[in-house]
Amino acid sequence: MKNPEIFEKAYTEYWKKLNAFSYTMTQDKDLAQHIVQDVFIDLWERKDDLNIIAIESYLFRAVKNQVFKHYQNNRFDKTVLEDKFEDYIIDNFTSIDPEVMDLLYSLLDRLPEKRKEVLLMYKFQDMSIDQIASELGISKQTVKNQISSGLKQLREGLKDLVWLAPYVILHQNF
Amino acid sequence: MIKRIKHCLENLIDRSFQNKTSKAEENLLNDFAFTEYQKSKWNDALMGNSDEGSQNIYEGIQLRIGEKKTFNPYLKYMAAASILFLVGLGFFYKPNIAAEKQLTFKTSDVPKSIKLSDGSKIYLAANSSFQYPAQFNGGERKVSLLKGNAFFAVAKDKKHPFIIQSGNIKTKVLGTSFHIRLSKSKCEVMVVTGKVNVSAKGQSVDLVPNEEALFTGEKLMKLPIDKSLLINWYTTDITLNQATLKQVIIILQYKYGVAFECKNEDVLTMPVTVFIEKNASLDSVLKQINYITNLKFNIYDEIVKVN
Repeated sequence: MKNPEIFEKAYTEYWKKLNAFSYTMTQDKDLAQHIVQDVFIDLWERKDDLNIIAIESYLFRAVKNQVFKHYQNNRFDKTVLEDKFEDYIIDNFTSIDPEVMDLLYSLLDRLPEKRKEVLLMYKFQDMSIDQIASELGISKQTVKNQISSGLKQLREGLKDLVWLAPYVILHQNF
Repeated sequence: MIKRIKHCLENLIDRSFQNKTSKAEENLLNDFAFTEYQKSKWNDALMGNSDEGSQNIYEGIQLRIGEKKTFNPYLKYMAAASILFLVGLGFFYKPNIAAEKQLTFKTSDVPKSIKLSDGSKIYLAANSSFQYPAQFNGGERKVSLLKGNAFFAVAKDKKHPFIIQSGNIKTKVLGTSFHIRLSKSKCEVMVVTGKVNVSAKGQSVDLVPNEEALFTGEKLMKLPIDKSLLINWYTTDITLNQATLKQVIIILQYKYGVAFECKNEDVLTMPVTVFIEKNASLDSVLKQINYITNLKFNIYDEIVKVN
């Protein structure tokens, strides 16, 4: 990128969104700014020109990679991102790729039957707490309790979950 | 058996960097990040003023690409120039000084501060020496730390970078505050606010607050700062409550530019509470410490020994 005009334009257009993103992921103001700075310096030093439309996705990927790199190197409080990841998985249970979902279902299977049932109704069938309570003939408070302890247990499971894909592949080979 | 060592996210990221993730896993990581990206919104309370943030980042970028643009072509000459500089000091430097009217500011046993013509403030530790022009001319504000250590609060002026030469290393800033410590074997630069670029012998690092650059044995390294070093020794009275003797000594080293020799390392962990007045002499501080600890600190020129 040796085109100051495009560079300026890309900076003005995207720095704020990228900085908000790097901050959200790290909760560290200085590090977040540093990441954005490094990414734009890299952009400047690229040999080839990108068109302005391709730039946003390039910048997003670059910031993401930097965040992950700093995460690996313990440059910020890792629980920030880990909590977010757990939330993301729990919130997006239904839309996640089945290949990865198998693992998550195996976690669900570890829950007590009742709790699993409540959680499935709540998360997968989009039923409200009132609906679940009347469907199962239990109190709303019980439903709430079941959901919160179910999610907590799921979250604990996620923390402990070693990503099993290599193990799965190995398994298939034998 | 599989035992948990890492969080699943860490596992996933590690494998992603090694290109060992499956497509589904890679998508999961990507979608997760992208969802966060789309959700992210600027929040003044958490992320600060956005204009300031933008300016900060942009300055950092300019500092780096500006330098690359102008410095790259003659990087090779820089090494040669620094040798020339040393060799030719006697011949070429003097006329230069005359032209720019260099002033030298020295301290003996008490730290002092000065204000330069551009508004920058320099807090010089005891036993240190600093050289600066009476008036800044030209595109750069150039000064040198000749000996000891100093804290710099540099006035903001984007058009005129502030450059400090200290021993082999060069510190370049636009407007910020940081600390430089120069001794025979090494030179340290520690950043308190803003951004700083440090270069030495063709190596270069960028520092942000709470980072330091250490130049020793021909190598330039970047390290995090021990928090106890960030105490404002240069402007205020210091109260150290139940600090270890070691922390007290570190601060005294900065404030007074002296070295400590300690025969018995065990005493360094001793907890002490001391009050160091802004303009106190080293002698009076040591008397206070001697009284509290029952040790005997003595000053021998620029070395303090304890028995």
